[in-house]
Amino acid sequence: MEPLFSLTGIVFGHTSERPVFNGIDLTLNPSDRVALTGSNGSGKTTLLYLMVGLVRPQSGVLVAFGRHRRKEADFHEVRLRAGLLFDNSDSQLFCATVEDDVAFGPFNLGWPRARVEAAVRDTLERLDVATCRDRSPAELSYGEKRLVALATILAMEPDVMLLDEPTNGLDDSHVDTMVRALQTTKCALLVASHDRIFLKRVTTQCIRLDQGRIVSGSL
Amino acid sequence: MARPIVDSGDHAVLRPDPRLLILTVSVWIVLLILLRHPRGLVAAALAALILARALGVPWRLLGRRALALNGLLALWFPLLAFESFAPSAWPWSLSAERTLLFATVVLRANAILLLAQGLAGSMDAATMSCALMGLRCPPKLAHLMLLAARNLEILRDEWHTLYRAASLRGFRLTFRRRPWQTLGVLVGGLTLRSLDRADTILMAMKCRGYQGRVHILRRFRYHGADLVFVLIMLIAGSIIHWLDSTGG
Repeated sequence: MEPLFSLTGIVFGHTSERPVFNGIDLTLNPSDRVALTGSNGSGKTTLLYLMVGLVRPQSGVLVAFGRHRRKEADFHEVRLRAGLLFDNSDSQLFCATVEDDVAFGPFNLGWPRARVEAAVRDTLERLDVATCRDRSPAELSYGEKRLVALATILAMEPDVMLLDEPTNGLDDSHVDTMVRALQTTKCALLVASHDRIFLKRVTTQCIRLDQGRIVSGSL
Repeated sequence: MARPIVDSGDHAVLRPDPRLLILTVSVWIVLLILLRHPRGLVAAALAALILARALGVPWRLLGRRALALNGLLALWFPLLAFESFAPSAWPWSLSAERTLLFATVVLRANAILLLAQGLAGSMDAATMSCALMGLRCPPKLAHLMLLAARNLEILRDEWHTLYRAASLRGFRLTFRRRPWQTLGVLVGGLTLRSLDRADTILMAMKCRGYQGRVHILRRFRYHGADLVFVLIMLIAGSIIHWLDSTGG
């Protein structure tokens, strides 16, 4: 089976003196559910950004969905197939209403209107936020914003979801809703989080970022 | 449902199609600019007031906005209405012709304000941007409106967070130099955060396949009541035009 992502010898740093990654190797297969741990500032968010082309490595090879990705244009397909959940929901929810935000991705996938409407309805129901449909994201509670942000990428039916601190600031009931949604999804997961209980519930393997390299970890 | 651009309460008698309302208000603003006689302008201002009320804009809000506008216009009264406002021209003499001109400016400005309040009070920013898209206005303008509707709220919250954080550490705006320096730092901080926010939002949009087009789910349909609305506005517009043209 062809891996979804294959990163080889990735080197990246915001400045040349302090590289964040010193030759990272990572392979993510279609059925993988991987926890990504590491201390604050170890580069978990940067790694997720790098995988969808929001930052570019100084050297190394990034293969996603079977193709070598280098230029901005190469990443358009990657972003449609790999859903990234930002750690700040306000960055993810930029439209004036929840339904427009959830519909944004599916429309860009070129789906017909009826399919987009069904995807919006089903995803919001699945995450118990159907009542928020017509509201502005500004009117939502923190937990609702987090679930709606997850809905924006779930609605696109991605092959893999890259989740950055998905449970930050969530209460138990919202975490349970999120866990149920992630346990029932068939796509691969790469979850960057400090919440070990949550990671144990939704992932099956663990890697850790340590001093610019990926090492095997445990939960 | 998202909030209207101005809080109008929920007492609207008229709920026309948003596209129709934008078109009507635009046509009426052109009509107001073309009116010359105070009789026509008084009728237009009255019609605009009735429209704003029918669209659910409360008296309190209309009064507040009208006070602000007319307060500003009052500052111009001496310059516009007197023959000469120079100290050497004392005692200043009021010109009937210029006073009439000032009155037409006041009436026209108030009527436009009422129309704008009616428009902004009857729909949220998202609806307005969707309606603009429906009217085939330039997509960039509609997208700007759509994104501003959400992101200005975030910037406002960020400003409150910054200001509160400063206040909790003893910041108070006084006439001394130091608080103004702090205010400058806060405004600078907000600018940097805004730029950072704009970058992140663009990243989030790209991550969901953005390629220059924003689609919306909402669809508008004309109803029978919209035809009645158009007829009422046409008749009112014709009467105002007749009053203006027969004003002498």
